[in-house]
Amino acid sequence: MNYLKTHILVVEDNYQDFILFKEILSHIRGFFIQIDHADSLKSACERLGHTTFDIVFLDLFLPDSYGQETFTAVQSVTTAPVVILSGMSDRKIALDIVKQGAQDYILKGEFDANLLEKAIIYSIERKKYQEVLEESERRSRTVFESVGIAIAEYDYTALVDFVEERKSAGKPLNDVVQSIDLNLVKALRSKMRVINMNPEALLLYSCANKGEFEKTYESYYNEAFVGYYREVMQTLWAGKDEMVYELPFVNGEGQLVHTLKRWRFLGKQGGFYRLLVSSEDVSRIKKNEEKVRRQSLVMEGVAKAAAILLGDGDINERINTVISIAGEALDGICMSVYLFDITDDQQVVYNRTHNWMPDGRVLRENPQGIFTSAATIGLTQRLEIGEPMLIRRDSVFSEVNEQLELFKLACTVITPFKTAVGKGAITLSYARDEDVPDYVLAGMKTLASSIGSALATAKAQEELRQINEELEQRVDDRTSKMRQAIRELESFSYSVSHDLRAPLRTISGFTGVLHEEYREKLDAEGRHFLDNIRKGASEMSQLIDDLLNFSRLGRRKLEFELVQMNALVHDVFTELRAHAADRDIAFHCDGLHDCKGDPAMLRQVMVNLLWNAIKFTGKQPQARIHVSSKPIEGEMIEYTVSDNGVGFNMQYADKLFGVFQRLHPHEDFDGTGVGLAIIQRIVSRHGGNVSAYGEEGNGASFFVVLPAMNNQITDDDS
Amino acid sequence: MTLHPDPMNPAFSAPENDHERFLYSVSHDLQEPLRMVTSFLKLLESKAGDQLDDDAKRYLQYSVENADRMKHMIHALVDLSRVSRDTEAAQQVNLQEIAQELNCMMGSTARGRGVNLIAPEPITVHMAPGQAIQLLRILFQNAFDNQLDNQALELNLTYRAIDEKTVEVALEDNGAGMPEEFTKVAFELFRKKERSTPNVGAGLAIARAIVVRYGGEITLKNSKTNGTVVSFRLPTTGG
Repeated sequence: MNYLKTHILVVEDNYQDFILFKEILSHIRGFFIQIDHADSLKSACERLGHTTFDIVFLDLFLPDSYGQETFTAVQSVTTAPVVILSGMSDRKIALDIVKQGAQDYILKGEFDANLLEKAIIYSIERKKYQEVLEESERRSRTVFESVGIAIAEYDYTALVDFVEERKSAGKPLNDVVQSIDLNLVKALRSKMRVINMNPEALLLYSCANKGEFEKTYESYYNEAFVGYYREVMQTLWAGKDEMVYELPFVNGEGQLVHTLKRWRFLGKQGGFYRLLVSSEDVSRIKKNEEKVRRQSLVMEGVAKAAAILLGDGDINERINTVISIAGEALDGICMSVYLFDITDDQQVVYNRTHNWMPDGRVLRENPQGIFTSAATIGLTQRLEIGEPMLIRRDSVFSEVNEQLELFKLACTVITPFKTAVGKGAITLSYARDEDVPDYVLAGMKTLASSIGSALATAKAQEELRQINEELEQRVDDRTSKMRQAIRELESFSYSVSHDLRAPLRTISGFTGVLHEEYREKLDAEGRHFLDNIRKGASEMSQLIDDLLNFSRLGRRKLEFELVQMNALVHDVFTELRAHAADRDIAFHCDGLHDCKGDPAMLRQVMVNLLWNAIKFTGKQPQARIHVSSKPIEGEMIEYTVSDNGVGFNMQYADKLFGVFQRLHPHEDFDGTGVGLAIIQRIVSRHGGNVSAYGEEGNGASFFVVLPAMNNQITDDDS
Repeated sequence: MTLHPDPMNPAFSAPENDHERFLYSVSHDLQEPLRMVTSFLKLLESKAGDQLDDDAKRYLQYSVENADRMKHMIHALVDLSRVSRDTEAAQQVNLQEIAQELNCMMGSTARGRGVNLIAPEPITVHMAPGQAIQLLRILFQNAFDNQLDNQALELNLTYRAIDEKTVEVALEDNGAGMPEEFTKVAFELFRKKERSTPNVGAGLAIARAIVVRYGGEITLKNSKTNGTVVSFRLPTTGG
């Protein structure tokens, strides 16, 4: 895949952030990443000016540019996908900018190699599809220009207005038609904007470009144009979308030629009424009526098909219509379109067939058309792309001969095409063995090219739509998640913890690299230093994480319901017991009273209490943990959790429930000391209270008072 | 608008709320492991430096810088947690006088180009003198930090009465101004205009905490002359 080799520009003014970013990038496997760095908008634009990058990671806040304008400036100098590097405080701006065309954004410090890899692949892919789409549109233009007939594209809004106006004024068609004279023709024509002219059309009027044509066209106008425009008016009046008119015409070289004018009214497209006018020199037609009739049918069919392919609507329907129209115009008996898998050309991923055989033989025998997929793929690989090839039964392609024989066909024209979404081919088969004239081959050539572009456009549109949908979904998901997160975390403590984490992350990041890559180079003392640094850093991380958890507790809404405490305690203990499987613990729990509370929160209380009991009895040969309950006054239940562990000095009893209060040295018992603070917070939100009794070396008891089932408590603390 | 500026009101000296408890815990409990990290980083740098290549030394240097930064952040948290626990009694203080003194003391730090302080009138407010000094010092420092290279710093300290008990004080500078986005978050803790400056971005948060303590509010916006104007409301009398 082509994003394996990826050239990245990181625009970031904080050099340390850049180094860390680079370090994380180096952990992405399977990419050959080349990283360039710019620390200001000016240097970013310079680099983007002379180097092509696959992706740009952009910090919006640079010394010389701030916010939105940074993105606008970068977008104006590169077509590479841009991913915004955003901090917590500017994420809203980042989100806006994604909506304005940045491919994605990532939060600084919140990504790892995995996320970064996804962001890179995703952004490059999305950009690629946008480009395929633009390329397809360019190709459609190319078809338009190389079709071999003069075609001009107009905006005919003025004509529509003219007809509508006359109609609403109640004028009869006849009067309107009679009112058309050369002046009116010129006036109407002057209001029709020329959108595009192909080279043939310019040739017809001996003009270098459409500007010149706009200046000179009037000189060609004569009385013959009055009848011509009367026909136009009648066609529009009747609401038909097509008109054919033979117009005698003195061309740019002064010769009188008969031109067959075909007007195709495409209706309103992209904000205006679009009209294709083809002009064909039919002077020669007079010489060879039959040949020309067929030729014009072919051209008409192909032009019609090209117009349909350029239009809107479901691609399958358009292809079906096109092959039925074109196949009939080309006088074949079965026409098929194939598109192959882009990665290996070994599979048909798209197929449509139209069959004119009276008994439907082809479709019955092989729904994919005259040829099997394998035969079509094989042929396409051996033929020149874009060139129609006539194959008869006696050809060198034995597999084709068999198929032709099977369906009693004389020959087939196959035209391979290549598009941004893969190779493909169209085939048209004939029952009679006849000369397939050049103009049929030319028609096939045009058709293959138009169908290829239409398929590529449709596929790119579809993929872009899916990717956009997915992006929208992601943005929506993230927005709603973020809203929730913001509500929950927009507290002071959150931002403080978060801000403190930033430098800590850098320390952990760099000392992590030192640990991984330099540990071997250090002597025992150096390793000891490094271990202590890492230990200190991880302790700080733990502290900050615990604080974050603690600060979240106060904000969750409580849901009061019946809590079957006996089952809950047994459940919790069983779970915790598994983490101390090697210990001898005598657990005793009598039929506990039910209470009223938030089950999840109370579960947290019991987890913390029982885990403390398990922890602080760790030095006993046999731990004893006892849980009991009794109703007390005021519609409350008092639960008691006792153990025979290390206990504590009652002198410190009031400090027990403070955040980070630890009465025992770290080395003996792990944890950060937030557990009891959490218990107190939860219980007090239930309208209850917590207390403790202990003796040093002689066990501890914790008393938790919670509302009984008939208590009228509600949560007013959120 | 009426303020209730009584620092002796129980609401101000109430038992630690979540934020304060949080601040207190963070500032104290993080200091110990941070000291460990800092001292071992320095040991590693000085004693094992010759075992490491330039990349590793650079990584070590970044870690030291960030540990240092954390230290400053934690100190800022301590300062912030002290704002509402300050026990000094509120009294009538004249901000004009404090500004003039600060100008003498700090003016020399303003890149040697001097400060032209214009404070034409006495401005009497009711607050702890220590906190009045702290508030103005932060705002002056903020102005110094935003001073333009090519001109002397001009500071205008003015006020207007909002009602009988409240004044709005404004400090306007002729510095570089602030990006519009920044003015919205300037008073949040650890928000800095530029990432590269050595301070941690706590000054304005502390300034706000002081003003809020006296029931007031503080805003920052760009002035018409491209500088910055900070306005805050304070009580003029106790009770």
